[in-house]
Amino acid sequence: MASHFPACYVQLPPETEHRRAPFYLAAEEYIAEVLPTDNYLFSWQLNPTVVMGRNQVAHQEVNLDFCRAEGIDVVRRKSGGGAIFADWRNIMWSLVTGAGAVEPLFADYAENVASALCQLGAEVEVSGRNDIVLKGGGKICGNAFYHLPNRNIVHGTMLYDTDPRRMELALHPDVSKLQSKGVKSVRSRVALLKDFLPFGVEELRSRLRTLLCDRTIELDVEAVKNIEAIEQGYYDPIYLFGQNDRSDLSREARIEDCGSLALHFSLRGTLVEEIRLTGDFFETGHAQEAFSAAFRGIAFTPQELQKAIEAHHPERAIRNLSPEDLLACVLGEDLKR
Amino acid sequence: MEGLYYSESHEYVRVEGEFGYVGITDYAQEQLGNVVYVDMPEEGDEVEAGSEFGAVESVKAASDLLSPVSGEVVEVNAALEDEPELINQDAFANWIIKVKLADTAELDALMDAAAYREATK
Repeated sequence: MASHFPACYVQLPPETEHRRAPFYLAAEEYIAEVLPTDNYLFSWQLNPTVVMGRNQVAHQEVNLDFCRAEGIDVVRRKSGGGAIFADWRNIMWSLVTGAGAVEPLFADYAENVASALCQLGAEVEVSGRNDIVLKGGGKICGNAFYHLPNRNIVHGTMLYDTDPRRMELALHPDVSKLQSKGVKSVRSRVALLKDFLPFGVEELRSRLRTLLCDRTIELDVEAVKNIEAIEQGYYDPIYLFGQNDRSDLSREARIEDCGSLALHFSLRGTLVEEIRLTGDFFETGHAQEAFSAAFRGIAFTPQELQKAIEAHHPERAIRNLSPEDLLACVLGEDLKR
Repeated sequence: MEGLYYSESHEYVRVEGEFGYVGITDYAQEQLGNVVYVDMPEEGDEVEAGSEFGAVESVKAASDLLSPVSGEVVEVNAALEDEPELINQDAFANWIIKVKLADTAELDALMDAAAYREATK
């Protein structure tokens, strides 16, 4: 197979520099759908963002509450693989090519990017998985692939000086006891290119472009409008948090003066589809309705569950149930008495 | 494989009476590599010809599943939940969804085995 490099660089209008990740993911799709067959490359940078893989269950891979508290965007891509964290000190690369098998294209992409980084002075190599690693250890680039019938999209991260603390916390879910299907992330030790290159992130981005591309195509305002239309699909809550499988989760507790309480959640991905109650508690109101109204449609994360209880007070429909006991029961924590 | 209908996006449909068994072709599984996950709809869901009804993810890539036919999903191949690699072993035996065909005229828009062979040369 002939190499896909040097590729054609896709220049997006300058006002598109600070968009959310789905804009650039939509740009890949637009390029694949609209531009004539060629090998297109472009790069982008993001405010702190977690990008989940196509078939991942959100609460299992991402600490959604931490991300919300820290203002970290959480989105989903259409390519496979695990969740990644990116911020402004990380460069994202997208390659859009014609049809073809996955394996050789992946190899060609990784080898060309690794070779360009070597030319710039970073001692890296392609690893067995879809990664580029520092010789001696530490992942620099993670890559993922979205295979279309007549096009292929490869995209990847490039860690220059990404905040490792936030990365670790954002990708460490706190509802880890939940068992569901979906594709699990593979955790790797990472390294940062800033420790090996004598220039900044902007310079790195521009030098790689020079090494990997020999021509440029510019996208106009009209193209941006079309990209924004595709982008909207990425914000659909079902797409974002409803992947993939439905799963059931039961929480049970024996609460003093209240009785036994069992909560049976039906989850679609991370979203609560329904909740059923069983137990020998005493109802002071329509408990089933109250619990359904409180929990249906929310994401199964500690903060969202707590907010639902505070907003709707479903516990008031059950005698001697406190909001604290209910939250502990929902979270599967031991009741401390 | 003879007797099946093929789409340009590499799905096949095997028609048996009023039902169609939809899967991805051997060519498609070869392009993707080792399949690790199949995202399937649920029984009772409606699929539409040309529209996405799920995804196949391999160790390297994810790919949309586009339905070649319209109709109600009457069965999903539950074996793929635990053994998605069955698709690599025999893509034509391991269909993904069974659809109650809403409009058999849609089959006319698909390729036969000879045309599909030509298209994937």
